[in-house]
Amino acid sequence: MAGFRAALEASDLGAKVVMTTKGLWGKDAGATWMAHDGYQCWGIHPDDSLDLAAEDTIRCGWFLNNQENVYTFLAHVPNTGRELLKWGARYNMAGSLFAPTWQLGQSIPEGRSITPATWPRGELGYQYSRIFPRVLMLKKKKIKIMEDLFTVDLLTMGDAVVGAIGIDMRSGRFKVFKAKATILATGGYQGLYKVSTANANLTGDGHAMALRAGVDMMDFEFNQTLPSAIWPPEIAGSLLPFCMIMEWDARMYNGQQERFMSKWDPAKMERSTRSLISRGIFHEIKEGKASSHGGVFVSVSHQSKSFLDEKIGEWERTRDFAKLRRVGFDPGKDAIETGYSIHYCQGGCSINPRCETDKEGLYAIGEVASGSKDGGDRMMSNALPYCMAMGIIAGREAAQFIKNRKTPEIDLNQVEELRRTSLQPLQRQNGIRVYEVKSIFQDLMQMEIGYGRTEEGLRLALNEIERYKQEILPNLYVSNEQKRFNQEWINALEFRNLVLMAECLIRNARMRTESRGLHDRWDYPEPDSNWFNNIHLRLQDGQLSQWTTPVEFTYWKPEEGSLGEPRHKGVKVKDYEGWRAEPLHKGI
Amino acid sequence: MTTDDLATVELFRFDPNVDSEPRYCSFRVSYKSYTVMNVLSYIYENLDNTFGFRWACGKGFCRCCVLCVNGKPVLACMEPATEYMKIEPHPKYQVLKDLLIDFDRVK
Repeated sequence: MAGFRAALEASDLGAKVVMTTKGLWGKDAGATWMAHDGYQCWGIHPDDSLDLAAEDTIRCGWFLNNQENVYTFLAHVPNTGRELLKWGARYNMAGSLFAPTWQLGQSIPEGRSITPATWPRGELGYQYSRIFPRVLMLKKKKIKIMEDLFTVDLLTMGDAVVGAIGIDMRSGRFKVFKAKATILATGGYQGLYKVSTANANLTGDGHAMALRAGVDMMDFEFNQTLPSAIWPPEIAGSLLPFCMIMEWDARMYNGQQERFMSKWDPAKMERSTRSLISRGIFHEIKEGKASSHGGVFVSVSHQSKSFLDEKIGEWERTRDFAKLRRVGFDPGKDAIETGYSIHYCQGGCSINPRCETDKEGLYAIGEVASGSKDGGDRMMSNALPYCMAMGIIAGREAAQFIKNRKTPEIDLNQVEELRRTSLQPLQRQNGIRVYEVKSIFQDLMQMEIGYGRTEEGLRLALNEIERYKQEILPNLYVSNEQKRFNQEWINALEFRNLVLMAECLIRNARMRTESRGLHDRWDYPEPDSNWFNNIHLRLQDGQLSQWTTPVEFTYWKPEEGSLGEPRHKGVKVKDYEGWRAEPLHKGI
Repeated sequence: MTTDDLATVELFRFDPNVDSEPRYCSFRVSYKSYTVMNVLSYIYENLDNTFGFRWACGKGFCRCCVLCVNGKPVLACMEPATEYMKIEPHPKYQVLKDLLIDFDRVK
């Protein structure tokens, strides 16, 4: 979504745009098509405002957000909502307005004070995959889309990014791009974990490219997780169990038939927050009380038959539930096994409100751009509005940047070197196949860098990553020598990126000696007033260097005595004087 | 595991750059409580890594894994595996390689 919006904006402003994706655009490439959540526009309710939306976002992020970025991106959001409606997205509406009251299919996002998130009707993210291609066709844009193109690395010249090199999977040849401006919109690194609610081929390629190009990166220690199904396999990764907890009053049991949520939230039990449930599940698994497939049980068998019959009637036609019924699931007797799955990655490029990274000509948007827009925890339902807003900004800035610029020269030695290193797994005659190690690697990540992080666990995980770097990555080998559509080759290159992501994550998690937002340390269970800092990373000569920068409380600061916990209010420091859109309740 | 637990998979193979005619490869793999996608991944990772297929979300959202099992168009990630499966690309689209199709080019 972010990449498409940026391409459209830049193209509207007269730029010649090439958009590359590693799969098929609108299908397996990108993250938006998998979006479950709503689209949160501020200003649907007459009492809602940009200030309130920004304050909620900052409080939800435990006051770690870059407040300038939050305000700048959120300011565009109502316009993006209008735009999507114009393009044919269908949201829950009351007449010509977004429905300002609670309706079926709407929820007030966790942490948000007023505005309900507008939930698309029907197939959620699916509708974006239909409307975007249509917009592109209707506008007859001259955006060249290159599919099945795996970008390996960015090309640099001094302190500027001047293009990229990738593998065209359809021909098996390398493609070199010279670009006046490059926009990264590659999603997250959910492939680091075994179970993901997102597209599993999001493997942090953009993050790794940016790191290798020497870009300043930040916030890797925060990763959002959700409880999601792991068994039966037909619904693995689905949020159905979470929905059943909320709407069927389902109960959760560990492998020893105990309702473990009594330890975590005795008052609300299973109806606790997403992060507490994930945390609870994680601790049960780590303590060896997992169900047979390594999760916990979610069951509704305590409910009466009439209740179940009524709910089955209501849910029979929903996608995931229908799948469950097809494999013979009986809610009165059977339980779903549930684990926790990665949902959203908050680490990424450090960007300014113009979406620029610290390398000239390189922009980052969406999930690959952190800029600490989400701080310590992301507000529910604001990923997609951020994507649209950042797409508009980056497209505009890039189109402006390339004016009166010549096409840059590229360093052919660098191209040759990148080509040589990418080909290595194909040229080795023997070694380790990526499928032999990937699953073990993901297990390690799922256990050690989930919740309840400890110094000891992180140190061991880091040692393991070092071993991967020394012994496994240099010996990755692909037995199939064909270059066309060689998925194993691409998977081997992706695995190299994932190992780098793991290292960033572990190093940041070790450095942050407190628990804040999504970062949960067993040995430092409380937030610390000295940690109103963001941790940055840069790859220099093969080594990651880290440093911290203090958060600037430009618009909101934490209440006296607060350590940033979301339950405390913020204190207004000054007003935002930048550009802002009309609120949505004033008509569309 | 007895041989009863194994499925017979007939896999469509065709590379328009090389082959003049499609052919079929046969595999025997376990299938119970797996999806067609699980079976294809198993074959790719363990038995034959030269064939082309697509998978991404595994949850029926992205629809990139559409193919034909025993003549019926299905999403591989959603379809339970059965004991005999003839797996072919979706007939509506041009084949890029094996099960990989070009969604932009309708036959």
